[in-house]
Amino acid sequence: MISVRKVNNRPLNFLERIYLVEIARGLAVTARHFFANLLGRRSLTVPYPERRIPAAGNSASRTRHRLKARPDGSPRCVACFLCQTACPARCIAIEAAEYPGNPVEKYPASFSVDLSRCVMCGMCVEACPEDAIAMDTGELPGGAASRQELRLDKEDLLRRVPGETPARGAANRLAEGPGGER
Amino acid sequence: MPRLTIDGRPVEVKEGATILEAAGLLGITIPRFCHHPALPPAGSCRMCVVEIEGSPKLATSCSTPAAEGMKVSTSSPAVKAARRDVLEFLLLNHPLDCPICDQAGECSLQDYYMEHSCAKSRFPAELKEPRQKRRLIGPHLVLDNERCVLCTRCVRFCDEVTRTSELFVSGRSDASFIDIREGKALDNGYSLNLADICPVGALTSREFRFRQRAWFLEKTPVTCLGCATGCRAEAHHAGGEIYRMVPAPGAENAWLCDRGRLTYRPLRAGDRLKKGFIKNGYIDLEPAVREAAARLAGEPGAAVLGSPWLSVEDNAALAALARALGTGNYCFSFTAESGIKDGILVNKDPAPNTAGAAEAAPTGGLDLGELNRRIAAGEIKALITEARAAAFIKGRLPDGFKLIVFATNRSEIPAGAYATLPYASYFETPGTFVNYQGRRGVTGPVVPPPEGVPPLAETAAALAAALKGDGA
Amino acid sequence: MNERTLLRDNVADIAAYFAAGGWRPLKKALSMGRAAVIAEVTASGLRGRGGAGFPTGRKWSFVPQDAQGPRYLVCNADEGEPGAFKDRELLRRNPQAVLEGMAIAGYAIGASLGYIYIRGEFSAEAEFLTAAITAARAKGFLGANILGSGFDFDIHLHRGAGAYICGEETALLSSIEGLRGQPRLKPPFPAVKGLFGAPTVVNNAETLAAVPSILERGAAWYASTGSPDSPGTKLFCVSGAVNRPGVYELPLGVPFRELLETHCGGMKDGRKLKAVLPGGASSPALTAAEAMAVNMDYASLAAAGSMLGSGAVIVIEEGRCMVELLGVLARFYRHESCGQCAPCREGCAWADKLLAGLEAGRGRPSDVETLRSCAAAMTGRTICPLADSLALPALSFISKFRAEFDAHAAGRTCRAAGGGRLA
Repeated sequence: MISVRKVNNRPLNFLERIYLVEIARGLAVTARHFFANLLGRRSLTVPYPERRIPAAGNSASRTRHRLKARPDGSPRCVACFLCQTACPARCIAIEAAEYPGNPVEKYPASFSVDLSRCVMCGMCVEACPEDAIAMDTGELPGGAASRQELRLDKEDLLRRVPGETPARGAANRLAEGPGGER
Repeated sequence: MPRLTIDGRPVEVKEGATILEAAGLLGITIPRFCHHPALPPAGSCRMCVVEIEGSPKLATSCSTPAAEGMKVSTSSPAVKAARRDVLEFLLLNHPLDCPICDQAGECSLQDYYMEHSCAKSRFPAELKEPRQKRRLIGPHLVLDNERCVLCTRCVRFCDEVTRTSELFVSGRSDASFIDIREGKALDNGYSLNLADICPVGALTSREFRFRQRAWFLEKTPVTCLGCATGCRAEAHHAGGEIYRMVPAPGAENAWLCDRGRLTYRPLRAGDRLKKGFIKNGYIDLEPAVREAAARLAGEPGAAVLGSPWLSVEDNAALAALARALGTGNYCFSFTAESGIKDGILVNKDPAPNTAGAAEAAPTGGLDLGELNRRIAAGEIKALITEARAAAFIKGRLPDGFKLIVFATNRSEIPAGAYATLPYASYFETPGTFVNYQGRRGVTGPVVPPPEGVPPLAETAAALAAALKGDGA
Repeated sequence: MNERTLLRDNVADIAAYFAAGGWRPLKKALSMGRAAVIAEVTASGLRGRGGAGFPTGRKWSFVPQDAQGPRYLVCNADEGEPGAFKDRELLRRNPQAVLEGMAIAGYAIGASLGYIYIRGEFSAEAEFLTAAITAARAKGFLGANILGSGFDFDIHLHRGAGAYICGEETALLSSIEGLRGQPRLKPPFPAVKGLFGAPTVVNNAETLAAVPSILERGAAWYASTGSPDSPGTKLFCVSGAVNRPGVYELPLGVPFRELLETHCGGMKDGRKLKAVLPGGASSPALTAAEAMAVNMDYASLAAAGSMLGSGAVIVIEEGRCMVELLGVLARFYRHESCGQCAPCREGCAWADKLLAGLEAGRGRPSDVETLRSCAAAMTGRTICPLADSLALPALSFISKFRAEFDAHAAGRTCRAAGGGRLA
């Protein structure tokens, strides 16, 4: 036996038919929000990219890249090219160079990440044997006015975040010396 | 002709062939460090050991001759365990240099470890013996003693191939290390072969250092154009740039001489010609061609000199130019003493195509002596040739002589040249060359030429067309 | 019968040696013909006394009869094994027997030049030997046309430069040639292609010194001495906590118990026997019980899982730490490895580092197994037996005295604070 529900399908009255009341009611909602935002009450959105909401501190999401630095300010990166190889979007370009005196020998003369190609997969971070690249800045990439701004070069990428504790990489032990950072 | 069985498969070999060679005939590649087909055996790395039925100990296949009726296993559990153990021993003191080592991607330790071991390390990194790193020995090589596995291929190469014995094993036991004899430098003209034969990153090329990773490289067969020997080589390139040349696998020449190996260098040198060069200024190619054509048409007794450094096709194009000029002043025959002069590879004839150049004009034309006489006598007032061939013109050029050369680099331009036209080298455009034994083959292209630089034949044809246009 | 043919008294001087019947065997050999001499030595069953125990006559027969050019006879007096000092004693007390043995061997293989490769540290013995050679030459027993037979044979003394590895025959030959002292690949064997590429026989000094008595008294007599598979007498040099350490010449097959108690006067100061290395520092260890049950010959020791080797008997008493002792061996072999092949070069060093850690109480529990597997990985995998010389004792120590190793791995050391190694 199918259950039946009787629906009250009465016809619309005159006011409902001309729809003006519904329009006014809708406009009232909009106007309420409009004046609330205009008069400075806290809203859900921010004017991006001038203001950005930082990700939560314990967020595990992959955000804008950075190159980690050694105590002396040089990048931990030894230009092994593994990130460039692993990147599925081919957005990393590295040129290697040699330190004449430093026992680590190799460093990136240029290191660029093209954010317009990057798919934020994190393969570069996984591939790196020196724990030199990370995607933990908490900043969301993108929102630039020109393509040039989306190409991050070594100077843009090289920075620290507070409270970082880098793992020891293989070649970096030479820079750090026996017994830790120097 | 002993017949033996390897891994259950029968094979017949020449008398004296080793088990390793016999396995190679069956397509079985036995891993090895110290063995090299062109060097005497050392039998010291113990990586190539195989199990021979009836023998209690594993035998080194590189130094054990194959015998009739032998039953060999290259994949028994004992052999596999032996390989894992040798790798463990070699990796004990091996530095964790893979990220900075140029050998990465083509390193025997890496490849064999992945294929035959993958065992975890049982040796703490802090106890690894430090040794000398980054030693610049000779003009072309860097030696890193920490990475060395003491296979002694380099020592045997210097002893047996170049017979210069610059390298030796110094010290004893685990304090052994490769060193260079006092007072000697590693510049025997074949030193870059050591970077090839070193199975790890202990000996690496300074030329190649840090410039590219091996797995990005594409490999194209070429013929070396450094001399008339015409060794078969392989150019490794990526992104339109050549990074190194190595002997072609399976070629007759097991080695390359250093000079020939570096013949790709001028391609991207700072002085590479991308435009024409007249007197002391660069000018675009088209006006340069017009100027050159005007000079050839204008001066009485213009001449065309072929070049044994140019391909058969480009020499033919110059011959066509001579016909367009309507002149009998052309020369394509060069005599040079040929034959290997150092007992290894370098030829007495420094030009790669002496035989091939002559094909452009089998009959007619002048010989070099007559050409020089006519230049000296003032009967020839303009000559077009290739930059290195200009050296065949003896003596000072007469005043007002218009020497027009094709050159790839500014440093090639001979003194007194009036105009220079660029052309694509034979890494950038194909060319047929005939070596001193009459062997002919096409080499190139490997990478594209610089923007706007055409093959020589194209420019020569443009010159010929310009000459016809002038109604000469 | 305990008749001594090698360590006889008062034969060091050539006149005394001659008076006692010396240099007659050479004369006899010269009249027998080369093939007969080889047959005689083969029939005697004499086995190489340097450690390998290879039948001497057979080794001589490997020299091709029709080889053109010179042949060489080399006496290996590079006594480098820790615990071995028997050749030194022989060279001091009976050098003429060595020289005569060399001459007979040289005649047998057709050599006209012999080398004595003497350990570099034996400077006094080298002087003594030089004098002995000069004296023999003066009497006409060495040099051209010996005893009017038309046979030329002279001896050149070559001093080593302090490498244990040059006791290995092919490394020894390389050393004489002025090359780096490291073993060569075999085949080709020295009998076919040896010193300077010529057929060469390398024999231990003790082996050669036994040859004159075989020629003198006959192969049958020699074969009747000692034990069936190991005829003749052997020089046993005993070291350790015994009352009378020293060199003893005894018939092969003598029970170890007799060697220890009768000849060496038993353990010193009432100490108890703990272990024995019957063939020098390269032989697997025997426990006290095993040692007391064994006879000192090739077969019996092999059956017991060890080896006769050079006959250098190292007696280890209770209270001696086996980990420390193995550490001494490891440090020796690490230092003496030539460095050619990866298992020996890296394995000896790894074993040395592991043992240093264990001794000092810095070891990890897994180190004992690591050491054991390192030793197993070195066994039978190298160009020469130096790696086995460390690996086989190591495996035997770990298997028979495991508790000591485990105790060290758990951090307990035998010595007072600081651990440490024997000087």
